[in-house]
Amino acid sequence: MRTAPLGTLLVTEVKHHRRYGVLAGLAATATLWALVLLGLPADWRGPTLPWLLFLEVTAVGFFVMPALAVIERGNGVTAALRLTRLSPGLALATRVGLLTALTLPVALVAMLAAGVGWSAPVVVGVLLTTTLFSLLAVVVVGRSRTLTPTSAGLPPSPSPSSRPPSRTASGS
Amino acid sequence: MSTDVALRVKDLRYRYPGQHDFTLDAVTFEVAQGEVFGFLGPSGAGKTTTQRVVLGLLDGWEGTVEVLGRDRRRWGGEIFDLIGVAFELPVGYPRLTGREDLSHFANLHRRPCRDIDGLLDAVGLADAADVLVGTYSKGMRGRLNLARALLHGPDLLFLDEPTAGLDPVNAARVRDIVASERARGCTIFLTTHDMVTAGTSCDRVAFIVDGRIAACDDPRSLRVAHGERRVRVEHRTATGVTTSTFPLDEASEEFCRLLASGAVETVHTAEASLDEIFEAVTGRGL
Repeated sequence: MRTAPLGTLLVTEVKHHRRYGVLAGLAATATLWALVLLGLPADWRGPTLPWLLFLEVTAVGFFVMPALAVIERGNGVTAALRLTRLSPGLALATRVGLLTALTLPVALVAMLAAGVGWSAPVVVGVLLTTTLFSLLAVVVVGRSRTLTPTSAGLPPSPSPSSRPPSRTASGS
Repeated sequence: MSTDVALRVKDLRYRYPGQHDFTLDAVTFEVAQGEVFGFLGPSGAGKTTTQRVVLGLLDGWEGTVEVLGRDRRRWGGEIFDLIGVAFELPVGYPRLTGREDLSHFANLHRRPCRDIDGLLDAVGLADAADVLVGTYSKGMRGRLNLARALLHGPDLLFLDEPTAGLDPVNAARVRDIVASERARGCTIFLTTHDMVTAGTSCDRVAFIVDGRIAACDDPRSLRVAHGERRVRVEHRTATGVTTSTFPLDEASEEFCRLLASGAVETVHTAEASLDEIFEAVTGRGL
């Protein structure tokens, strides 16, 4: 039986999230944040919550979103989708919307663990930040088929192995 | 075959941004409805660029491109329900099974789609239908590409190197599919290096070199025009097997005597292969 494009996209996205471990990863981070918050003194939990949620939405926006986009492009799927009647806007909105929706349970678990209860501003903040970061990541990754060009543009790591050799250490 | 034109390309010119030379320079050809048209040329000749222009994946070209009777620039997304494309490079969601991948794409068309199990069987992937595409070999992914292109029963099919990386059995299977699609009335634009496929499947072939069409005709006419009218005979002699050639234009007594002697082992006409014709016409190899 034929399914509408939105339904098809959602089904495929959920399969990808499950098979690439996105759902498991989000469940793991929700558990982790809950344990971290419960392990803190009660008066530290509230101030810590925004930092953990920011870490969560940043990870989803700047890791999960580009990874899915690059996997799709690197396997020629983006080109194949261009030759269907699928609207690119619908495809993007579905992916961003679903990822954003998936951060909500993580936020709710963290909010409960922090003891702040339901907070509409926090929820809206999480949803908006995830959406913004996901869209930003799409722009950053651009048309890359791999993450190499993006990572090559990052500032060099300060680790000793990546430092240029020192002239004074040449022993000449 | 209908005389209607499925694809008309006239004086097509295209230059990639930043390039000085034209990648396509006054490319002109027509593909009749129901025809299998082979587009042959070495790497970098402009085959894929031509295909990308026709598919609407490149802008900024000059000339005329008509697809299924309408100017390419006037087509919207509805054209993708009428055309099917099998890419040369492997395409597919690595973490979906072959069946899930085809089901996903089938739901993105607004045209009744074929039975997915039947399609997977036709391309020889029935046993791998529920295996993740990421574990497929290059040849299996190529056949999945073909199945994806055939999903919605397109009127115009673009096949880019459909036999690349396939073993002889599966290459023959692909040629059978091309023949059955042609019998259904589908027009096929076939880009290939595989001269066996081009020679056996195509009604006409065009040679493209350096962005220009060097020749366009049916394979038989090209073979006759560029081959030698001779017959080559391998026959047994007292010292072993010997090869002799005889002209076809006159009845050779020696040839008749050999045939009557029963010593003949093989007989071949000396028509040129498409590779040889390509080289003779363009001065380049494939």
